[in-house]
Amino acid sequence: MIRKTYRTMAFSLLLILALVLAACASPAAAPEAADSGDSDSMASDGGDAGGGTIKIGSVATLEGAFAALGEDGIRGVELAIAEFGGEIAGMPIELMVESTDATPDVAVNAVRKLVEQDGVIAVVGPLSGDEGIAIKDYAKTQPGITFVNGSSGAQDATLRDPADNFYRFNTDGTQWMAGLGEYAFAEKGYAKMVTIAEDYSFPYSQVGGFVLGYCQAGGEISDRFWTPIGTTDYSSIVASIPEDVDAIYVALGGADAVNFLTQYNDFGGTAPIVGGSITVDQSVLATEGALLDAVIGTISAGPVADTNEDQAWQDFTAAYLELHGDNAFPSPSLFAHAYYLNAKALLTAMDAVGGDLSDNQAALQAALSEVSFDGPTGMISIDGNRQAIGNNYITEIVQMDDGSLASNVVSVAEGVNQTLGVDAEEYLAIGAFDRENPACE
Amino acid sequence: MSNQVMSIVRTILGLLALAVMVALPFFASDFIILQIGVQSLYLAILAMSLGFLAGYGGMVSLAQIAFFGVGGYTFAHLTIMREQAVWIGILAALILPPIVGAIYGLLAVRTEGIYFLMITLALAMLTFTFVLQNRTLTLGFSGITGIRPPTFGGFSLAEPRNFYYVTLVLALLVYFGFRYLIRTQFGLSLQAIRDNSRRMRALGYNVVGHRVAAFALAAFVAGIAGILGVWYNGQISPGSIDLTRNINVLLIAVMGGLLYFEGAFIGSIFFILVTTFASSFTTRFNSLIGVAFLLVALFLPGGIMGLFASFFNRKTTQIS
Repeated sequence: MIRKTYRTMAFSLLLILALVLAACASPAAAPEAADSGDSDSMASDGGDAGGGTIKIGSVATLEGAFAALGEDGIRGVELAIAEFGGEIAGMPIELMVESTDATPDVAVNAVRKLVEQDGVIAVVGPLSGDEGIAIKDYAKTQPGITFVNGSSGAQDATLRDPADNFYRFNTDGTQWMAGLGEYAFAEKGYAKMVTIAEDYSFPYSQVGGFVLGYCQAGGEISDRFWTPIGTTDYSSIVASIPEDVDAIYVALGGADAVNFLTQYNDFGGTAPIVGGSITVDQSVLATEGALLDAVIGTISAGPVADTNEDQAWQDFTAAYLELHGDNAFPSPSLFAHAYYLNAKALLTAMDAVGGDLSDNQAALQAALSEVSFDGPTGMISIDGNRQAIGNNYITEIVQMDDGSLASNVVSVAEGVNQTLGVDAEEYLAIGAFDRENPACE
Repeated sequence: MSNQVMSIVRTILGLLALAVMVALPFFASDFIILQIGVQSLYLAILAMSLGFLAGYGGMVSLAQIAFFGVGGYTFAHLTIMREQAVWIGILAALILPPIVGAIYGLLAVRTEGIYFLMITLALAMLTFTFVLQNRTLTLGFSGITGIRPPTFGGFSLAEPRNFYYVTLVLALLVYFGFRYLIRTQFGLSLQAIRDNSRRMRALGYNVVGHRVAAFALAAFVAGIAGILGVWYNGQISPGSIDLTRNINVLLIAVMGGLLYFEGAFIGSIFFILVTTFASSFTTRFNSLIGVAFLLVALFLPGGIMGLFASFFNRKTTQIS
């Protein structure tokens, strides 16, 4: 009978091996790029350093479904390091990269290893929202280490109960909606809308940011639909969308977005779509089929846009392509941009203090609080909670000359702060965003 | 060498391993104590619960991670969302997993082999989907955060060394508890049911009852691991009990050796060392674990511990 158990076991082993291999299939070129970038900077600067190397850690999602995004985040960090010639005050920078799978448990383990075992002096990361909150919590236990965010967009990494040594130089998921509600109401004339979004923290912050602006401008939200992540059948929701709405706000990501948009189209839905920051990004636009016609004209908002004529962005894209060449995306993703901003801020501060890490990095952290710079998407600075104030782009999906789709800038919301211009106390009184909050008024 | 000498050597090795585990906090850094020590130990507890079911009950359960989750979520829900006292959280997190375990057991134990595997996998995924979607109990995708290791009187588990020793004592209790249990009448009948359930039924034994009891007991042990797990991680979310985590438990138990409770320790230490340190020089550490697993499955059906055992006592392997 035991033998039989083992036969069962052998079968399950094969099954599991297949799963493990499937999980490993995606991470490809970027880690190698990470290694080589790393050793390049070591090789060129190894000789002249008196005080050893500066070890900086970075965590990103390099396995699982978001591997491609995490790799692009690391490219952003490498780009920032290359900009500083791979050294600070004559000391070469050593970048140590750890992988997560987008779960908070793994993120904290990875960061703990970097800090407590590898001895890094600062950490850049993580990628996703809930990881960000977990790392902020961990940061409180390590006051002598400086943490800058990667691309995590969860409000509460900095808004409520912040950590003194956790800095975020990218805007958050709510800020990414700044200006979209006003634009939808005033420019597009959408007076009545419903929202459809996944049922977790990131879409809450997106819907919340949209609703605040839209309802203040005078719009009406007649219903809000929430679906679990990974929903494949949206027919019941499509059927419940009232016929008299002017447009639908959709904050779904990846496959969920493709499924919903396809089904809505198939069921004959014709209302225009207003998208969240990742609803109509390149991963969705790259999908083939009838869907493409349906998404042309979709307005959306976010910290980056595919076609941004601004010279700073063009330069950034050129530098990105030059450093990473064939391995990279055609243009830097939201993730490369966010990781770049955070890494650049960290290195700028480190440079300003000449690599001084004494007194639990007091000088470095003071300098970091003062950092502001003209980045690829305009001026970036941080507020008292160490949260970025920056520009946000309202975009519209257009068809390019080569037939592909891209997001085109139609309006820029400048200097968006975390409370979207609302008084901080008033804003905090709204409470954490969830299914019903903020109300439409 | 005679069996007697072997048995002495084995005892010495066991004591040596115990001494290393007890002495670890005196020469290792906090990082090693927590990330390697505590993490390996609570995973070993979880793997032992699977080893008990699979090795002695003939039930390869993929639902152990679900009970880990029930324990962890119960504690987190009560202490964080309902702001109850820590002891209430612990008590509830000890009681609920075996209850859920008994219910799941009733559904699963009437099947055998691959069907049992599939049903328990389905139950684990059901639990995963439940915690993902039921926001009032579990806060959905984001999970429950801000959990701190508790303090009992002046004894704070936030101190790595204290946390380590508590986990170690619990792991040893589970280890010796299981070793004792498999020699009791209950344990022996369970093994007899594993070997020939029809004959046991014909002899008048309550086969389903035995299996459900074993399942509930394993769920209780997995729940203990769950409590330690949320203390260690400081949070629990659906990602803590997803398919990847589920497979990890099986990997640990099988690599260590399902029939040997010591194997759970060896498997979990191996697993944690690889995931912690291999990621420094390769991003393909998942492949590395996969290959190690395949090698163990192909060449060491008794796991790493089975190799030791066959070296010291050939009889053991023949019995198994």
